[in-house]
Amino acid sequence: MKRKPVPSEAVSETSFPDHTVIVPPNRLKHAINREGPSTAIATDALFRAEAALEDMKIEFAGWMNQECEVLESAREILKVKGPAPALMQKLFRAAMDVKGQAALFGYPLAAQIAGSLCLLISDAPNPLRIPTAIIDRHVDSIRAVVREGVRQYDDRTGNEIHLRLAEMVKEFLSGEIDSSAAEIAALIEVRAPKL
Amino acid sequence: MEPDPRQGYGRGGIAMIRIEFQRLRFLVVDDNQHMRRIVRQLLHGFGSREIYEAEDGASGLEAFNGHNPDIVITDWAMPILDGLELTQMIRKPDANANPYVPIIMLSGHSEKSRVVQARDAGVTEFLAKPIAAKALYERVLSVVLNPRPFIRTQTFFGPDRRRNVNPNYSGVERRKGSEDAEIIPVAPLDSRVVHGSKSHELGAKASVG
Repeated sequence: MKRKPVPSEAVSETSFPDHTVIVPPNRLKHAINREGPSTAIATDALFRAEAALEDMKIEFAGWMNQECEVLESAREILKVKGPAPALMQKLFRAAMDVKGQAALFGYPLAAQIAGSLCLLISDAPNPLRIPTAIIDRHVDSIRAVVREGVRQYDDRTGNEIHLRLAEMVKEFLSGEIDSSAAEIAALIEVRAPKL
Repeated sequence: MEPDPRQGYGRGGIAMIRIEFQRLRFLVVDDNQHMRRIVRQLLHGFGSREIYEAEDGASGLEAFNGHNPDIVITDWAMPILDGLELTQMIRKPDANANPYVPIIMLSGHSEKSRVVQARDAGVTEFLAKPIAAKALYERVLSVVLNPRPFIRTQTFFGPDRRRNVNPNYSGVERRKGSEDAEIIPVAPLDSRVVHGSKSHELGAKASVG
């Protein structure tokens, strides 16, 4: 074990046979203000941020519509120009955006359905073989959820649609992936509807 | 009358550790304009006044080299250069001014395999979307108050991927080191957090280093 001398603000390195541990200077310590002996952490900044996010909510419905338009546009281009890796990537990114934001915007079911589409594209050995019909069902379902204002996780109709889509994905992937049905089922998390 | 916790003081007016966000420079890299706006709004709420944005990994790398941010918050799925590739470019030792910069990956991916993949690329903290103010706040606190040492091997350069050293661990030890290997102590995040309200529980879970 070798240890190099440590001048102030220098990087400290300690070498081992197969790795080196490096302790860089903490460049962010100037942002730490210790107002006293207490080790409690102030949370007023968090309150302000939450209030700021609350103020933005008025825009979320409009933003959700815009995300749907981007997703539909990506689907249309794929249909018109035919399956191509770059176009499928574009559709995937649009679906990921819906997956990542729809719950925050108030449409958790849309996020779940987008997640199913993302899983389909990311786990298919050859995404270009994904039938257009499955992609259409996902995209159209997301649009329907937003159009109908379905904002609950446990909406019966919405969850039936989600379950059906998950079955379609499972069926397609089963035929494409050399895996057991159990492994595929584990890939797909489906929220059971509260009937 | 008890001091208002929203003013930043706990019960009895005890002074606290405060992060001066206005002293931190952030770089937000995301190809989605709404997400960039949301993250910007949250950072403004925290108190940050210097926030740079980029809409893909390539311009993100350019912004990183040009503005030298203190913290990078990046999406994963982006055109041209994705978040993992951006992270790997930043982490190249000797390739730029600060390969040790904290990188918080904010992604729609939530599967464990993806988190592991991000960690192995050199990401410091991983945050699954949908974003929440509290989760982002915790991640920033973690990188500021509890910076992790870096590890360099033949195949990896990035933050120590182990949050805890567990003396009872009996699985595969990828990092062999030597029997006399010394644990390099890093100041742990204070676990005694005074909460402004019952709904905010910070610290211990996210930040033990």
